[in-house]
Amino acid sequence: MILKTLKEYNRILLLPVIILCLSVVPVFAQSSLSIGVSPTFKTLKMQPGETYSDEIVFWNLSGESDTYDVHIKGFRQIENQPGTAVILTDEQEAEALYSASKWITVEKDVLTLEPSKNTKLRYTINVPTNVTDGEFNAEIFLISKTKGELEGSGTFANLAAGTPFLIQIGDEFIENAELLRFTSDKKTYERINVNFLTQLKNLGDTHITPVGEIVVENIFKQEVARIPFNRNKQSLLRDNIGNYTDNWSQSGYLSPSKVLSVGPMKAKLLVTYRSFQPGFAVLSSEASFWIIPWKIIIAILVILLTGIIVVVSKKKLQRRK
Amino acid sequence: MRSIKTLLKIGIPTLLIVIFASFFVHFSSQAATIAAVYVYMNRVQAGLSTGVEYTIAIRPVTAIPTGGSVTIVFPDAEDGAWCTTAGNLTATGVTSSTADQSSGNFKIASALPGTLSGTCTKGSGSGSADTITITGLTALTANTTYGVNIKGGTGVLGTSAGAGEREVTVSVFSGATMDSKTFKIYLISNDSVVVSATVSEAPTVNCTISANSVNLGTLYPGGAFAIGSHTISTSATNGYYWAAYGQGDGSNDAGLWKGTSVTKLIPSTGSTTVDLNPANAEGFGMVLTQPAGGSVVPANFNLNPASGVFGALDMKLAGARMIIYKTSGAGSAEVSTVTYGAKAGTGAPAGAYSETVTFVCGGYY
Amino acid sequence: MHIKQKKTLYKTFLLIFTLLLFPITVLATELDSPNYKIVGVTTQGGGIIESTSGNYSALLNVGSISANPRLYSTSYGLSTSPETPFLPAIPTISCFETDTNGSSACTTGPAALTTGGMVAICGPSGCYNKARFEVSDTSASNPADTLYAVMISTDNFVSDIRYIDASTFMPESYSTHNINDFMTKADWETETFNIKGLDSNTTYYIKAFALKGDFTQTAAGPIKSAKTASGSVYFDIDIAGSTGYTAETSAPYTVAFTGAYELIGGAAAITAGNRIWMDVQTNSDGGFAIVMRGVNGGLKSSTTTQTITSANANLDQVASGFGLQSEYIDYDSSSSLFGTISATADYSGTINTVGKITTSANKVYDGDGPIVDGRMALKVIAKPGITYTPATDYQETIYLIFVPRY
Repeated sequence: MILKTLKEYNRILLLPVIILCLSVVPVFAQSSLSIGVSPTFKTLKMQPGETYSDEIVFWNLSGESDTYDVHIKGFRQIENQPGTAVILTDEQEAEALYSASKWITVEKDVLTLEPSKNTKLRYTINVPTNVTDGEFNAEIFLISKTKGELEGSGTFANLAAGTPFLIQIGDEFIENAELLRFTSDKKTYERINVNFLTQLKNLGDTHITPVGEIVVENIFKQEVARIPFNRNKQSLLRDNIGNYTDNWSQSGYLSPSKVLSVGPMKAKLLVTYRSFQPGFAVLSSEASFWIIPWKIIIAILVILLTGIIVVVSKKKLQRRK
Repeated sequence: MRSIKTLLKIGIPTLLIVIFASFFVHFSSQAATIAAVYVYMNRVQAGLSTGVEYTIAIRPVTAIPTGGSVTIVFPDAEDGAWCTTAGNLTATGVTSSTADQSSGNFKIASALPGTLSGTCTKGSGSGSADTITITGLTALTANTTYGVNIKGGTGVLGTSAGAGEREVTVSVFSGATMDSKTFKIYLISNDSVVVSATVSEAPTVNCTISANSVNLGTLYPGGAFAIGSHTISTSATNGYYWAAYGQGDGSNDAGLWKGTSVTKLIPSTGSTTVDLNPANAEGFGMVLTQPAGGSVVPANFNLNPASGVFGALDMKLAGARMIIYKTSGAGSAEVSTVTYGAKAGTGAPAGAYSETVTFVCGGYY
Repeated sequence: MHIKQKKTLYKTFLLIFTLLLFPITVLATELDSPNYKIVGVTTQGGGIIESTSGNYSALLNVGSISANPRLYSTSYGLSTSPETPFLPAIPTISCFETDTNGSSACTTGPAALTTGGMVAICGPSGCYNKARFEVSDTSASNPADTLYAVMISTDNFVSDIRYIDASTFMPESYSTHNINDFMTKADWETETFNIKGLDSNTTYYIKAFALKGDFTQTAAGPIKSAKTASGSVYFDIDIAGSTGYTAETSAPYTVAFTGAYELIGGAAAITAGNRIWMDVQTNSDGGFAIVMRGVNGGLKSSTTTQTITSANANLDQVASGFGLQSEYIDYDSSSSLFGTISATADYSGTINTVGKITTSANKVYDGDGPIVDGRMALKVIAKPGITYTPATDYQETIYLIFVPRY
């Protein structure tokens, strides 16, 4: 009898055991992670054989100490976003032609950031004597190693931040870029909220900061809007592709200068990127799209149609009489 | 004739009585030392020509009848330095002073009473010193500390030249009743400290993760997806960005990884999103809320976690994905909530699964 | 008798009485010499006694010679009264001090006094408003319950004649002097400063009387004098690093957040390398206050028009701020009669907790008595938030005011 009861309870007990195996025992320690960096980037002009020393300031505004590993590697843009940086993998670093990681030494390999304190990391850049002219890059990059505790399933979070260096060697550089694509994010818009997507490729040997504007015209070739290109001046690394997004928004269908902003529109992009005589290297392209306030159009049509029906009906009635 | 007689009869005896009594009647004047006094000046720099103000605390030991005055007499050899322009001053009774002790004789208890008038007179030569006089007092009680503030008016107050001690005499009196005290104050060559600061032009960014580990709750094989959250916060002088990548199994994909036998990866599949809704779905992903202030969360991460669709992560540094960015402008403590979603497939072995997500934070160059 | 006649008679009697009394009072004093006095003077009928030579005459008869202390000369006394054997010895003052330095003749006061003089218990320059006296032990022929009173003067008893009140220890008019102003030697000397309420920079003279039982008050003993000190104050500002305990610097006084201490927007709080050091000395009974105020209420830039505002705050918990924190206090504590220095609560924080610098005054330090070798240091801490525009001209001017309390 007792054994029978126990066997029945076995089945009841087994399922919770399985469940419990996949569950978490909610006893674990968390702590916050915080890192501040200044400067967020550094641009230097140096000569072969030259040495430069300075420091980066890190700080920790959390209530606990955090420990970080210090990495020095070349960096790349993140998802072709100009102005962003993440260090290369070991494999990428081995193949990187323009990495300056071997030029940079730091005083510490592990950095502990105390709460509410600024910590300075001193670095030295020694440019080799046999380096070619052009721009090289490296990033001093900190990745946290402070681990939380987890019992059961969950996610750990690490925090990483650093200072990318753009080191220009020599006095003369080749600035060259190619406009790969210029388009609007959609073909038709009901409201004017257009994102212009531009893709540039840096063919030169130094970073470039392309600037320009996008001019929007209506079907009557009247200028409707003039939008700055890359107003935030994000830089594009050498030998990299950069995706730029610029937005045109307008609350109504009349521009501030009372020009109609409805129907087929044409956007013309003009971009310069050279620091010296930029006018001699202008990149341009065009994109077309439609602005169709279809709800308004339908409403107008409905009103018109209603009006027509009413008029026609009245006439018919009059004729019958 | 008769008047002379009257005079002789009355006047002479009276005179003699008065003279006689005068041997016994003793006229005395009362003068005592003030029990407690201080002179609190708004500047103690020597050689000022204007702008000096005083707060005086004074505690007489004698009751001072109404109609009294308070004087501050400065060193005799410094005529015209303390009262640079003679004239009226503004005198106002005060009930407390920053220089008070917390309790006791040197703590002002009452404002100097009366309709107060202040004047500043210049000394002229030996025996005549610059003097501040306050009149119009009503009666003062003995052993009460009174306070008064004195500012320039048509009269202008300064300080004498040269650092060092100065002897001043503060008196309070009415008629022949007077308490006074002579003591010292100190002037220095420069009573100010200038603090200067440079706020660096170097751009800064500050990034915080609220928790370095997040529990995902119970993962039921083939059950509903589970979620867990923390926040990220950013302050930057000119734009910022966050990117993230996972660890996964270290070779195939990011995702929740069970490293003990039997090993199993619950992957974060795809390049944009992971849908955890279908019955047989399994996966791991992440979404973020978009904070106010002009920052942008890419569309594949800008989803409602309740929808069951999450942004997909890639593996290692090479797989870093932008998750939030603000291309320009300062930002102060802009907070986004990060929510992880995970679902175990029906064949998922029991055990502890974990993923390590590395958040990369930076400022634009 | 007619009423009018009675009135005339009264007036006449009054006139005669006046005429007689006036000469009596005048003549009575003429019977005193500095050394003796003839008492019990009476008149007799006939009134005039002439000498045989006729060279002098006396209006009045001389009574008996009194054994009153007025028979004493300045150097000796003629004891003829029966109470004389019961008089205590005339007291002498063994010490009367105000500004002795390094040693003292006083023996029953605090230990610091014995070894260091009055400066050791009153502060720099000595006592400006009080003094100590002791009755000589050579009056030891007097039993311990002998009572003493002390007379005090600023002009050696020419016209200023006062007594020391035994309850307040302050000078009082002789008109209020009474038996309660007599105390034993031990009771007088238990009070460290047994003469108070004196004027500064003034010479005082004292002498003592002894009393043991009714009618046994002695003459005054020898006079002792001492001069009270002047007030003594000193204040100085220095700018030096955290170890600048003895640093002395001249104006202008500046503290800079530049170079290694440059402020970084959004970063953690930074403490300036230099501190504001201060020296203080005073012998004032009420000690001193250090009061501080700023011109801008924060670090203000004329270029950006922004101000890193100062407030009482823990800078680790706020986005931005600026203020002061007391880091160091030291003073001579060798005497329990010296005062102590403390920083006020707002400026007594730790780590990055600061007190405000505002355009209205705030007390930073307070000393509660005489201070010798006072030395203090203030840290200056700042934290600009992320929204502060970079500039090199953020600035605040701080005024430091020293207020001695006498």
